[in-house]
Amino acid sequence: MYQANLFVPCLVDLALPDIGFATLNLLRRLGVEVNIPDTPGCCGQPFLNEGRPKRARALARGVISAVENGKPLVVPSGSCAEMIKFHYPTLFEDEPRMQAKALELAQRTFELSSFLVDELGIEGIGLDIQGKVAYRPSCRALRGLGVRSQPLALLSSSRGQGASELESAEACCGFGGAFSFHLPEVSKAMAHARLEPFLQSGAEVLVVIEPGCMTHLSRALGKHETKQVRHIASVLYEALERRARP
Amino acid sequence: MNARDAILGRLKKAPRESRQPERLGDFQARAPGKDGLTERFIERLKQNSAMVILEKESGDVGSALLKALQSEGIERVVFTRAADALLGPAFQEAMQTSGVVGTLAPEDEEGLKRAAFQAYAGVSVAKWGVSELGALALVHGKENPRLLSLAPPLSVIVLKAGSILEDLRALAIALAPPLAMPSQVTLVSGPSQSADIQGVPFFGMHGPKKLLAVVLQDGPSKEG
Amino acid sequence: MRSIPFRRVAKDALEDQDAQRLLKILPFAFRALREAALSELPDPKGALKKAAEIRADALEVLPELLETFEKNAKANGTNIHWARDAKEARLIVLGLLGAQNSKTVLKSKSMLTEEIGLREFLGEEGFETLETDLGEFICQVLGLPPFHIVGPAINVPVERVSALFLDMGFIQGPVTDPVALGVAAREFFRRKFSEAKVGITGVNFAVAETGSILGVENEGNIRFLKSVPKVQVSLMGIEKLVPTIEDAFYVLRLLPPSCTGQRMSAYVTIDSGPRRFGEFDGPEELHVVIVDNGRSKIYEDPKTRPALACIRCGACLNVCPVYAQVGGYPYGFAYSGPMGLVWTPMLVGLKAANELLQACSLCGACKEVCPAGIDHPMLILELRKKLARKRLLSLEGIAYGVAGFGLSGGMRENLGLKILRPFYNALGRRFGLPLLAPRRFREAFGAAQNKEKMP
Repeated sequence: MYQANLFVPCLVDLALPDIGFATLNLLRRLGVEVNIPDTPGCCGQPFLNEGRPKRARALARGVISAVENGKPLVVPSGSCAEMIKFHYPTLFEDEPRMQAKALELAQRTFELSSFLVDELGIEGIGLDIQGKVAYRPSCRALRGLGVRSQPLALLSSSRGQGASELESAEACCGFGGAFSFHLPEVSKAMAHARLEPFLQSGAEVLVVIEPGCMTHLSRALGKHETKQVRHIASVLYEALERRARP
Repeated sequence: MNARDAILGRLKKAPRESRQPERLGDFQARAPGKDGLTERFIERLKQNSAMVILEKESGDVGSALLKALQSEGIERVVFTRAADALLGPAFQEAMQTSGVVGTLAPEDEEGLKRAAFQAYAGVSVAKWGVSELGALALVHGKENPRLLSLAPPLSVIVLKAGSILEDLRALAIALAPPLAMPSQVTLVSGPSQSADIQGVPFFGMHGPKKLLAVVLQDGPSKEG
Repeated sequence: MRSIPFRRVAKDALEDQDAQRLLKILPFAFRALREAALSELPDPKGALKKAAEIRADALEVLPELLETFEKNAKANGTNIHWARDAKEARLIVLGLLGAQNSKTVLKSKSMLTEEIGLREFLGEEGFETLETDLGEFICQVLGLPPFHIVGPAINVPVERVSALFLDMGFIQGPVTDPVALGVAAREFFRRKFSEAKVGITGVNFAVAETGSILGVENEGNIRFLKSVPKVQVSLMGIEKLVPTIEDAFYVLRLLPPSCTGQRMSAYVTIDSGPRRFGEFDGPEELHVVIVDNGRSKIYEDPKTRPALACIRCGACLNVCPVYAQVGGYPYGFAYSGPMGLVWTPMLVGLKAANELLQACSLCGACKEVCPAGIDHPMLILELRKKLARKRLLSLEGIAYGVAGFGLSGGMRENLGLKILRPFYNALGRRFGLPLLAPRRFREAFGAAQNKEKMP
């Protein structure tokens, strides 16, 4: 049986546990034996973003030493995966041994959708995804990890209603962690601007791969009769569940 | 310590990595080919909103230029000495019967300034053309002053087709030391323009409203 | 300098209908033009990479390039002046003007002169400085900061420009055609150019090998300022150097596409000294003022040094999602958008730029388009790090300390979290932050796993 570690980002752990369970169950249903290592509650990204690399380093150290089992580390967040893959090694520039470990971990760290497609080779599994689905990439996954086509492949549907990428989907939704706290008005305006093409489209579900984008865009969307913003793990897991119980 | 030494001292004290420069290829140049140089130069210059006349040097020199000047309603034209020499006596003769009044750029500062600001059109020479950009490279000096391609509303720039270069790299090589740099080289690729009010573009902000390039072709044998 | 109030000005910008209307179009238009212009190159990405290499290589030998430039420029007859800071630079220019019997100075757009507050200073000293770039001129007369590095007044409604020009006597009645307004301004400026005694310009590139300076423009005002006045004063930051003409041209080829989306700007002038013997136009004196003003400090730290590669094209502004919401005013200084975040804090001080440094969601769009290879997000992180060191005892510093401690624990629902949750959620509801779930995933997962293990 394929084994993998699941890293649960702090936002998922504390605020969006459903995404955590959706990821866990999705992986299990796809035949992956999931281990949730006893890591610190956060990858350290918010601290690095705020110019506090010392604190980020302490958390990184905890994460690295909790997943020394050599198995892939799957993260249902592009930005946390990017943090681990690209920033961990730079955090330990003065500690060659830690840096070597960070680089080793970087090799086997995957954002969820790229793990499913690039690592497990799952592609176009013909999910019956209810409702028209639109997708927008997330900044760090897109630019840091090159994740763009994988979610689209996963969301392609057997009923011929594949997901489409929205217009100007590359622009940031305005979350940016503490950015949304420092400049809430600008952050909100960004979210509304990004939602516009979704609102004008026929799509009912906007799928993102980043928990942060999901909460931010959801809040900007508010209670909408027909439309919602969802994390890819929830969408995929529910679709698989439906298929299992016709 | 004076400012110079303070600044340089500070820069020199900074830790510097000995960068290994990556030997990268060009990425800008297209496959070189001299055949299409003039055609592409003209095509691109036109895309840059310039008017272009292609004339055989040995043929009826300047008749197309005179026609163009007349159709623009130009009555007074000032030539740089370099332009006058390049267009030659046949052109001057033709001009005399055309009704267009042509004068040479005055050889004094005030006179030149007055003539340039008052002329309808100024005729200058470009030493090179840059095919890839559709741009003219003017070397300024005594014989080819700066103001005549700048102050008149119509700037006419004459160029020999044989001096059209492939791209900026070729121009850099043409300009490079050990030759001393002229006081000013100007790359002109279109009329003066601005879009500073609401992003709406228009020509003739400060400099020429129109740019007319006259390309003198020596005939196919000499061009290659 | 007092702190730049980014958030307050950004809020105003979000409510400014004119600015919002323009921002819905402007960045996208620039982006489309940029892509079209770059696509003419056989390998645009390779070309950007090579330009970045040229800039990085030049910075590594910057002091030597400056010395070579000085030597060759002097040999061309150029007068070289060095200024440690804004004040020295202003005084050098004032000294040069003092020797002329003209109280009017014409100048072209130069970010450096904005940065050192040259126009305001000369005004106080009794010199009338006239901006000759159309957009910059409108900004000058209306007292506005630049909205966009390429079109400083592009956001000013045409009615306002019309009223201004009416007031200045350029036009006789209201005009709402931008083109007619531009033409009216042309006549005013031509008189000024023909009488100009001193011209102040910026510098886009300086070439060490030949002692030359390059100026890139579309309007022709820089050319006038380099043709008519007897005295030309060109100010440049120390970072503008490249080794050869070929290097300058390589980067130049990418500047207009990155900037206005043109293949090449209408004019590029390459000056190598004042007019030569026998020439009847061009300056009799060419002064180049080389200005440090904080740049050598940026240079000292290899981590911040890459910022100096910037060629002021503005491509990063046009892809920045924050700029696209608020425009240039909130950035509070000569530079806006991502390059503003990278430069301004180092020029005005980190504390004054505290709010400004937060105006980035680290999306990384800017670094993808930068022809100078600047990794803006990385630099912003570096600057935030420097800032955080200065603010260890701030409320924020303490909050991050507490949060870091709280998150360093492992799987269990700890007591701290239980106590904090209701307080945080009350705050979160008020500020629109993600709310904490009643039970964290790890706790719930642990319980579920225990259940599974039971027979």
